[in-house]
Amino acid sequence: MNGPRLAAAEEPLVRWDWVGDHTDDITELFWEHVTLTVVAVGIGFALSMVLALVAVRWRWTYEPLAGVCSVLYAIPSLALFGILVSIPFFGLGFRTAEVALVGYTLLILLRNIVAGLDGVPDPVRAAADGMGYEPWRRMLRVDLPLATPAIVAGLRIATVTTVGLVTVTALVGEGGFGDLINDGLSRDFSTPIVVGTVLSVALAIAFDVLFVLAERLLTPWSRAGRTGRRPQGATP
Amino acid sequence: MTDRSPSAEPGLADAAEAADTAPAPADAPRVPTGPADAPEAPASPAAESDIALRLEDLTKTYPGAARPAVAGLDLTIPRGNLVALVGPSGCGKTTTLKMINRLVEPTAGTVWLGGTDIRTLPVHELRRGIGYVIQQAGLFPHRKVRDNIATVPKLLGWPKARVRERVDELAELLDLDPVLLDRYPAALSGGQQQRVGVARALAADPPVLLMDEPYSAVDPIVRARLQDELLALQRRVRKTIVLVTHDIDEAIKLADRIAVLKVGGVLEQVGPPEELLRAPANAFVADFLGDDRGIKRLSLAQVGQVPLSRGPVVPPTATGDDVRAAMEAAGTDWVAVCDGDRLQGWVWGADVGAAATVSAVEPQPFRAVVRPDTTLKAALDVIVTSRTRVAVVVEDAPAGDGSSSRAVAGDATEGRRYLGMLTIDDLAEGISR
Repeated sequence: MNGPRLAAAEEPLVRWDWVGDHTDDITELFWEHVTLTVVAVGIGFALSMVLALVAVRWRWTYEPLAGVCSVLYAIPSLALFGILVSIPFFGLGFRTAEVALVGYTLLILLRNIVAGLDGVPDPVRAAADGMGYEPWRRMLRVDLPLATPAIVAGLRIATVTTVGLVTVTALVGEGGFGDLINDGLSRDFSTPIVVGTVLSVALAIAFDVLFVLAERLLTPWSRAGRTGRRPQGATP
Repeated sequence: MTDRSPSAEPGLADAAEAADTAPAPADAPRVPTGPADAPEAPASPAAESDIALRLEDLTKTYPGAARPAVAGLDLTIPRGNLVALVGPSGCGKTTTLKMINRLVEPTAGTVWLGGTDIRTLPVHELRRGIGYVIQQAGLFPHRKVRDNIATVPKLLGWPKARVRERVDELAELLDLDPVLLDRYPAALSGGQQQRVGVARALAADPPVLLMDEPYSAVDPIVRARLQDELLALQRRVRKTIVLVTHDIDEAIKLADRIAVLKVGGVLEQVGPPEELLRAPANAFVADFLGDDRGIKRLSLAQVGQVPLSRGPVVPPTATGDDVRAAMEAAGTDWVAVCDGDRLQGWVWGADVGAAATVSAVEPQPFRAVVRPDTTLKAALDVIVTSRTRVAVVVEDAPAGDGSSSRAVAGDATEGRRYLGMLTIDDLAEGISR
């Protein structure tokens, strides 16, 4: 019902004077958005790494674990917020936002880490065992480094997804640029909607570029020589 | 007329050349290594120190398998020996190898490593003390060649300077271009990767090396070169090597002793290649060795090990009558002219007049020559492609001894000492001894 009136409004799409007046607010929301994303992906990565190590060590656990993550991934975000808000410990705020955001990263990250570890060539594994690597050291020094391209691929998808989802967590009072969009929608004012959307997309792209650069730094070997192979990361 | 020379066929010259340059396991001594050969023979009782590895009643039954993969295998491997485990697929040769470094745990039986039951050692320590080379090298793609080679020394916690020194030493030992050390494995050819794999296995100087089909993933030319390099390397470092291969020719070429396994991990015969080829224990072994055992035996012996015939040889001063007598004795229509032990070439008997001496005729150069270190197999090739069915055997003369030689320019025998001639009968004689 707001749409047609927005389009028909006399005002320009973006009022730059409003942007100029609100740079402090926007900066604050930028940091909130970054924090929500980094914490969610960070915790999600740590959790899914543990799950992946369990899944690789005890293979039979992989399908059940991935199943649980799939269910989490499938829950509509609005419903999830509704449930979490009603639980006293979570309520409206940061914790509820993070629980939801973390839940959505697990499936992507778990699948990519496991695919990366599975992609380590058998002769390499055999050589590492035969040279006398302990299992933990082999994981740390051989398997994980070789799985890096697939893991980074997963982190990229998870991060971009999370940056987008953070705008939705504005509903529980923690939304970064989502607050701008909410504000604009409620006041029928296009400037904050456009600013929030554009900045959110820009942030997603910035994170993605950072990951690409980090991967280049971490895996110089993957570009060495004609037979350099890159493990393919699975995407859900 | 000279076109009918005993060795003028173009193919023959090639054969002679091939014989000359043929890989010569000749100088690979196949003598069993005694304590005197082992540079660091410990002062422990001789019987123990001579045995690097002993597999005792070794058995492996995989879970769910009806039959064992390896059944009651007993095998003793002397120090400094290269033992090849061969057999058809499913004969348990790789399983046997992996039980030595405990990548596979035996169901029953014991592996003794230099007198120690390997189960008494922590598994990682055991593996760091045994070199391991696998098919396709299995290099770590994310580490530079230098760091790949340094793997075990680093696991053992060697100081940095010592690791670096050792890597450089190994690069030299294995003829690796130092430029390659700072590349990633993906930038290397298959043969280079395999060489790095061997360098990595040797890095901590382990007394025992396990090689699992090391050359099956490289092309035949590279494979032959890597095999020659391994023989040369083995002459220098004298490791105890257990090699798994399905290629019987590789086993014959490389091994001091061959163990033939049949499906189910049953040891059918073990012994030096020559012994297996000469006297296969049963039909299975004979079948596995192939229907050219005689020819394969020829590849194991060198020309220098066979008594040579003198052949129809006359001095430059010989008269036509001498020439005819020599030809009659040897059953040829040509003679070789030899000044002392200097081979000048050969002449047709018919060209030498009854009254004249041989020196009146310009001798033709021999080109079908072999050396004492040529394999009998290569010599056989020279002989069967030569019209006269002989190969001339020469050796390099001591330097500065060639002034009196009248040898023709381009003569393959120039400056070389004549040792004799080799016929097919000599070869047959050579391997039947």
